[in-house]
Amino acid sequence: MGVARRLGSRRATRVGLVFLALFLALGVWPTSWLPHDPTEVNLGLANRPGLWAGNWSQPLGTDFLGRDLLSRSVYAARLTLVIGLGAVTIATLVGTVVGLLAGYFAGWVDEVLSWLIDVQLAFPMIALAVAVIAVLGGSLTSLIGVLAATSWFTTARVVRAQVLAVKASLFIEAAGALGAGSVRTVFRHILPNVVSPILAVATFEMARLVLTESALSFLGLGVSSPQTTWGAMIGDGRAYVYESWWVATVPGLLIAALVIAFNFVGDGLRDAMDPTSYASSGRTGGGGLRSEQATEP
Amino acid sequence: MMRNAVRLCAVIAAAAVLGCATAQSRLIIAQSVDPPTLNPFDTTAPYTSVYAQVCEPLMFWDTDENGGAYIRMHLATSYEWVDDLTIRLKLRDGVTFSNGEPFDATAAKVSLEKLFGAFNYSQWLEGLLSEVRVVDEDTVDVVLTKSAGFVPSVLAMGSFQIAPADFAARGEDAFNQSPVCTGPWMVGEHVRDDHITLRANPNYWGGDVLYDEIVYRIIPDDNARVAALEAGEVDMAVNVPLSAADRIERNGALELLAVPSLRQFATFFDTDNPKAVPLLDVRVRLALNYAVDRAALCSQLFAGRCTPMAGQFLTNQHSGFDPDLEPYPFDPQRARALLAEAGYPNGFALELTYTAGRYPQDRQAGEAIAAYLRAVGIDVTERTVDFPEWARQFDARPRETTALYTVGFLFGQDGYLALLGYTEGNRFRTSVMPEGFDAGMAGAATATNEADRIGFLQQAMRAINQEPFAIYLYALDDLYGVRKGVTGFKPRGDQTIRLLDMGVARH
Amino acid sequence: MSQWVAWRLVRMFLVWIGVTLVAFLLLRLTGDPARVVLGEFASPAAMAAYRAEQGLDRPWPAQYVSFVSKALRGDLGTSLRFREPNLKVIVERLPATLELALASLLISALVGVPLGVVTALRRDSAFDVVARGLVLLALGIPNFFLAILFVLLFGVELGWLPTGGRGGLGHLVMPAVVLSFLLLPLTVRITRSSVLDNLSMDYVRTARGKGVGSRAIVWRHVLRNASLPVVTVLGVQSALLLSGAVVTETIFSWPGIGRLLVTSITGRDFPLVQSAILVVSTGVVLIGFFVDLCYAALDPRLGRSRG
Repeated sequence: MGVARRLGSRRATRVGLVFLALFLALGVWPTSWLPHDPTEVNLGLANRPGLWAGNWSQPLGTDFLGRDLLSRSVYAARLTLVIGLGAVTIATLVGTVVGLLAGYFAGWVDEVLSWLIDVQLAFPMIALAVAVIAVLGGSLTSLIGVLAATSWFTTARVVRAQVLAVKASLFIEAAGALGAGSVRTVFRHILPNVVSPILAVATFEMARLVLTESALSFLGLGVSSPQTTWGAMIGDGRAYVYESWWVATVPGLLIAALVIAFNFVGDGLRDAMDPTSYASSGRTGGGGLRSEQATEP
Repeated sequence: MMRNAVRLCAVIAAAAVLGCATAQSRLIIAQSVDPPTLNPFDTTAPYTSVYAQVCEPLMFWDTDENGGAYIRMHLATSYEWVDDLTIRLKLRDGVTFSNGEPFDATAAKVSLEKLFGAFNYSQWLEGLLSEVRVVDEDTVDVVLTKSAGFVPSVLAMGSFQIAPADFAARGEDAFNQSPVCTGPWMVGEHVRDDHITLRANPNYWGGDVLYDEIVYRIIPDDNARVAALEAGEVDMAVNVPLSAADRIERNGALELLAVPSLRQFATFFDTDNPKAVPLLDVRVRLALNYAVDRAALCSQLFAGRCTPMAGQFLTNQHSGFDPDLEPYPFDPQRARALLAEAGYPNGFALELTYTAGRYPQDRQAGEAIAAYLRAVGIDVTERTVDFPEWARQFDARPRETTALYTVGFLFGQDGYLALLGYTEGNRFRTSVMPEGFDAGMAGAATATNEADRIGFLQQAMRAINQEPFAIYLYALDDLYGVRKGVTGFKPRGDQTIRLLDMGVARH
Repeated sequence: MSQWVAWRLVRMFLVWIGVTLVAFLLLRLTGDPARVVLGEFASPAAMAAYRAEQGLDRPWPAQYVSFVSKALRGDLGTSLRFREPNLKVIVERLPATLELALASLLISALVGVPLGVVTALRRDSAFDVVARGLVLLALGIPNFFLAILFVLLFGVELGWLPTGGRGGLGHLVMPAVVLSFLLLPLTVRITRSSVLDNLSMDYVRTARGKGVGSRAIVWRHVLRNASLPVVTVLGVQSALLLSGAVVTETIFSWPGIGRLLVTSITGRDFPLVQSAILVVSTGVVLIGFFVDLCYAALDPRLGRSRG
């Protein structure tokens, strides 16, 4: 495909893809192959510096419970990615379905779905997150659910705008005239045209949701121990920023790298796509360009 | 070198601020929470620190040189039990409220009735008041419906005196924002979530106070609060996080004050929970107590600013503490042996709930305790919830909390009040409270003689040492950062602040 | 046009209904304000009396109907914790919230737009790559991490700026800069891509063909056309800043609405949370409404497709 070739042609995108591959490798890395048990508490080893202080046993240092930060960072990669990817997948699926339905059927279906989108958009995300997670606790499902809830409407808006644009173009009218069913029209003619913007939005959203998850951890709304994510690790370490800077900095750098990698790939995807189609989706109320929201939760 | 120069500049800047502050005689305190109202009968612990400068109680809990708690008289000069149901209070002469109203028996009656009707003291005082009788201008009798030796202890926590005519004239809403009382300071300005300013009461009965103005700055983030202290923007920071303790001690311009807190932490056994069947066996409950290394938690996680509980659910700051009891030793082998004896050689599964962000290092401590329990073979699932949600689950019927939960409770200096919640019919009661506990508490309830009360409470402590109802964990030190030059501040174990104790220039 | 405005107003009302309904249902799940408000010393009887006094023991549909009908008459009820009218408590925070949002928006626009234009005009140059890399780095660092570092560096070590609180211009600098790190990357990205889009459009080629100088093209045509999506997106994003700055507000002790929302939820102050959500969502809807209005006026092509 042209998009794939154009995607690979950009250096930043290639760097991003390499990093993503690395992170995925960390995510599937078996925990039995780690230098230490990532959840093993050893209070006697608390807050030890790493290599820079000559500590070869724990090269990235230890946290406040004496857990090895290298092992922990690898261990946390899995859940960080599971939460991010899980939320993005759900948001993308829901958003695509809603956007397709709203754009294709128009009329009252569109009105109802657009109302839903507007309600979600106007509802303060922080209130949703605090209320839900306070009650359900920081479980994997509640986090993924909350993050997906703050993201699906972005995809929905982009898809809806895109469908409207595609519908307006001639060939769908032609397909309708030939008697193709609506399901067939959606899958044959509309869906292929919205795949690229969906992917671009999803990569940006992925980056945003990883950051959002870390901010939720700051507010004490992260996953429950012994599970952990990079966001939760920064949250743990922030009390020690002054004395033991590495506890928060190690996961902080990982998150920054992950976010940048996803953005590089997202940029590449968008540049590789037909620019006019994306711009048009951006124009209808800023749908497409709103993919990164400024909601620090 | 550069760094030192910068430090020097900071010190000079701080000194400049210091000079300023003393010239205007203003004290700036950084605290984490903003009191929603300043009504003494309507708020709980952390808020007391503000209104306690404005409103004064008849008597209050204080500590002697040895750290022992005792009741110190204030607006009342003495109290005595006239009979088993009547407490006679003598009131101080020559006291007026800041608006000029006289403080006398009629005024005290109004405030006392409010206290006995207050929602937030209802667990102890509900249904207890028969009447408040004005004997003469300086004497009131508090007449109870039944014998309750602990009432003076509650009076020492909440007998704040408010100006009755002012309250009647302005109404409760206005009073909530700016109470008029007898205290050394009066409410000036309150900008929510930003600051509260108190101004000196020029007619204070006790003399001229040290500071013309007290400003509470609301700084919710722990690091930011310490940063404000280090930058010289505030004179005092409360709830200093442990991680900043060393930094403050090393700082030549600052001083770290620590006081053992009355807040007692424990991992409680909710034996009413259907999943908690193994906990019904006393051997299992003892095993869990042997499984946790309190000393290591205290020395490592809390940097030594922590006291392990001595095998009972009172600290040595409480009345009723039994000094002969020792902390359970850390003995995982014995724990495993006891578990095997009780029929659980391979452990069992339990859920543990703890809070994140309510208490110092609560999340870290929860993780560490879970790790200790896993080490003796118990399959622990950890859950974190926010405190109100925990309280909801706890109060729900059937109860929705997990079989184990770690919280810290601060119920004042009186051991009886701290333990009342575990007696029959009360909120924290579980099915495993030993008989000896009930007997001791029943004795302490009616005794009006302090020595007898303590004896009964110690009996209760010995009972819960033999048959624990929780993993008694530790009491932490409360940390305060204070700028050098601010003298006389004495931190208190109940987390309230009494600035009057910093000194008064007598007339 | 007037019909369109009327329809938007109806939709705004419907969004309110939806938002308050969600808020209401969500809050009823989070339990009981009585224990939180009355504290650990309260007896069950006292809690029951309190619930009755506050009307919290009624079935939730009844509570909802009374909330909405009062809200329609401009009465948002009384806060459980503050014992004051909700509207008063919320309005007190508005200046702080708006001040911070506007300042960070201003920084984002003043830095982000020129950066976006220059990186677009010099696409793939070293400047483009470095600038975009830095911007992404700003995006990638978790906000609270940055805020803490700022406080320690500029507040404590250097002593240049106050560590927190609201006051003069000095107090505003750090929170506004930290918060602008959220919008800045987006501003650069949108400016850059929309300038690029416009550069490739027919009218630019036509103008070039007519011999118009490229600087003139950029100033006269490209920037004007490219400003449309930038204004749209920044407009909508600023609406989200109304409640979205919790972390910044917490670390810098800024008395804004986001913090009020969080403390009200943890304090289970149901009436105040409902009211704050209503006010914030009104702000979001209103700003969206104005952005659309401007857009419709500026760009007739848009028509009424969004309804």
